[in-house]
Amino acid sequence: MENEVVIQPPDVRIEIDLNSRSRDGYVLARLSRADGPVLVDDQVVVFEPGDRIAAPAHVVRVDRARDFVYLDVDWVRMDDDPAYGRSPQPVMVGLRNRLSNAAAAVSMRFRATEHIWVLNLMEPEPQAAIRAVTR
Amino acid sequence: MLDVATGDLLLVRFSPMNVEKFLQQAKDQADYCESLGEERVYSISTFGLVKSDDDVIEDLVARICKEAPCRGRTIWLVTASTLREEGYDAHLSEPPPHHYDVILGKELHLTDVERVVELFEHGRETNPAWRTR
Repeated sequence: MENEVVIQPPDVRIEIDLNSRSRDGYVLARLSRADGPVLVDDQVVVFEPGDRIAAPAHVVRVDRARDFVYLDVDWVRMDDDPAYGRSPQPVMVGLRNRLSNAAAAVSMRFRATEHIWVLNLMEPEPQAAIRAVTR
Repeated sequence: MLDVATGDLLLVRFSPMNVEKFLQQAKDQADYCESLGEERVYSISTFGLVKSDDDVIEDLVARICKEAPCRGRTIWLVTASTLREEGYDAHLSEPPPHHYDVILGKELHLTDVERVVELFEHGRETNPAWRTR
């Protein structure tokens, strides 16, 4: 769509125990400890607050029924956590900040919950202005 | 540095290291066992290697920290024999390489968690592999 701005929300952050592993060797974490929605194949940031470190990770599996997420952590990139000491910023707050910088757009596409949402800024009817599309 | 006898298993634990997080991890591990259709077993994850005759402790620690797929600023060391004296066994649970579970049992008791944390806490070190690979 013309004048559509794609809003990339900040990566979801998940607290991990650096030692915890599943039987197939992935880092095992609780899905409920993520600060936003998590889908298979997502890139997320894992962090350990005691050591004040963080690293990118790939979501390998999600088990919503049992509240587990299986993560392939990029250990080589584990380093000081740039977000340490900042107030937690839920994904939707980061998204709102990015939306405010895209005033010239006619529509915006962003992901929240498990859907991609398209917000049509030219649509006067609020309920018609936003729709969910499958990923 | 910790004293490790030849043939003993040296265990390295990365962060976190406190009673609250150990309780959390032990519960997570028991939930994970249950999710696999197994009996609930409470355990704490670590990495380790058995010391051979010609191993120098510092080199053994460095090897665990380099070869284990894990990275952190701080490590805590304990031997399997020290844990065993207190009634806790360490079971190899690869993959990943060198991964061991310290078994707390089929029930979770705060006193067990506090004791295991105490045993690890004496062996606090800086990870020799931090920022070097």
